[in-house]
Amino acid sequence: MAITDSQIIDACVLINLLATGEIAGILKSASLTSLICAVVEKETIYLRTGDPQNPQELVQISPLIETGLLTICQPEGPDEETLYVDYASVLDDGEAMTLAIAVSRGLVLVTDERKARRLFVQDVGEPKRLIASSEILRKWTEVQNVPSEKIREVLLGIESRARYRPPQDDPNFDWWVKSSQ
Amino acid sequence: MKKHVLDEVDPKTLGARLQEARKVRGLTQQAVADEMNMARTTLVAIEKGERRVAPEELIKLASFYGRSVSDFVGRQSLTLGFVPQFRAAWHQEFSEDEELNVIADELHRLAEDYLELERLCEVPMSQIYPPPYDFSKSSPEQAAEEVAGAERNRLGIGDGPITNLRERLETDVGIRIFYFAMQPKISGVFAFNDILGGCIGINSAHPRDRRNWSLAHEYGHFLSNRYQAEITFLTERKRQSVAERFADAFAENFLMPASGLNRRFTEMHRASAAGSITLAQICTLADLYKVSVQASVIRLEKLRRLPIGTWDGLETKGFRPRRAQQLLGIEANPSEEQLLPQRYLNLAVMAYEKELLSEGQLAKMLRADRVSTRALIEQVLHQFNEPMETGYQTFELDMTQSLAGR
Repeated sequence: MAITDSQIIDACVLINLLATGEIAGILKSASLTSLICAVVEKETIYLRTGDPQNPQELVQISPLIETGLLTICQPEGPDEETLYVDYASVLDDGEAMTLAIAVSRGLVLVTDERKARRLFVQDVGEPKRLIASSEILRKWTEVQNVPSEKIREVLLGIESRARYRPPQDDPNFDWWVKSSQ
Repeated sequence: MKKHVLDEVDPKTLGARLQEARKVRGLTQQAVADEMNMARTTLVAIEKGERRVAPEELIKLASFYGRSVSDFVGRQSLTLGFVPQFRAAWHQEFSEDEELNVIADELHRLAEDYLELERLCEVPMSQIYPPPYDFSKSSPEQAAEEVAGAERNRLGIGDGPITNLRERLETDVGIRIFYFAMQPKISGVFAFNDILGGCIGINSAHPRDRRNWSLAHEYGHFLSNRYQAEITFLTERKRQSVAERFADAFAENFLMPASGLNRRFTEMHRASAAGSITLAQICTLADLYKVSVQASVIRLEKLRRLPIGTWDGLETKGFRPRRAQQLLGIEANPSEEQLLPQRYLNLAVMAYEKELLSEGQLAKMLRADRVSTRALIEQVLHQFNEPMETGYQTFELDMTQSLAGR
């Protein structure tokens, strides 16, 4: 199946991108149109603030949708609906809908979720259609020539606000560690 | 995916779950059928398991009921819910059925999630349940005293205060205990089925003393008639049933056994500079046993260590237990108890580490947002600290490693 010009972003990566404070720039610099599924759109997203008095911050993604940087999609037709329900037996609804649409429409899947990635490779067998947070961020820094101090700020922002750091077997783990020092 | 889950799931169980979800939302079959653009008879057939639900229908039904699709297809073991048990026993106590259904449904979902985690990790809960006690030949109060003593012996507690009642009942008996918000009038709920075992829900909004009492009370229900679902109300009820009298008397005797309480009271009395027991000492005693000042005074009245009517007298004089505890520096009511048992949290993180659960599934199991879930994973994985000369060194625990010894 041919790779399309769209990528579908799962909630786990969306949270990380929101934590950068640079999500609009990151999505604009991507060569693919970015989609999120209807369940992820409805998910309530909190980020850490570092303020003990007010430790969580509710993040809205509606501005990204209104400006067309994110497009909402949902399963269409019996085949996609069946695939969605099947994946919902092993994933949560947002992950299942994201995966079903990525598989069915031949989209690039943007997720850090290990179980979803394993299922994608198992069912589709095209690891090149899989992108992780680290990859999307690294590409942004390279395309936009982002200064090292800014990269450090963005990566540390993800670590503190979204409590995420890539696993050691991530191909960009060393880049992440070096860039965040 | 090769196999379709809706072809494999038992249509009768799935139908019953859909029916239960509809009732929790307080919807009639006709209202749902109209919304779904289907004949009522079709919905009836789906709920009875006579017709398999189609993927499109399940997606719409889940959305209409405010539930996720994975609630209906995401578990290997689906058990029939507690709602019918509670409705049968307590329907008349609630102005709206929905209120009752929400509590029963939440307890059932938590217990079922717990069971699913045990299945995924292949670590079933040890249920060390006592045989049913026979109360037929004594009053509920007499029976409760005997059972409380027998249970303390069985659990090896002795006659002292129980500082970790929840952990004891979870670990040593195998009861599933959850703390979650309920209407203020409800203290706790109890339900049982043969697959999930004994399940107790405690109102997390109540103070610690009350939560502790409610837990012992619900355990009393488990011991007296585990097949009867129970709801305990905060306010005293004028005509208590035999089961409620037993559970209350059990809580009293289990939390404050006569022998231990008498001994401590005597010691306090001897040590009292005033020559008689003081209100401050009673407050301290109540804190030691993790019960309210009122419960401890009434218990001491019954044991004839305080004059009958002492509590009523204190109330008449405007005694404020909370204020007294504050003055004594007793933090008797820390606000929050962990919603989920520690074992549940550990199993959930273990399942995630083994890639048996996704991050989204884990967050749902933990009733938390994703970032809080990530923080909790870190916390569980780094919970073992090794003391060093320079402080504490944190090391990562491999939750998946085998600990089998030789």
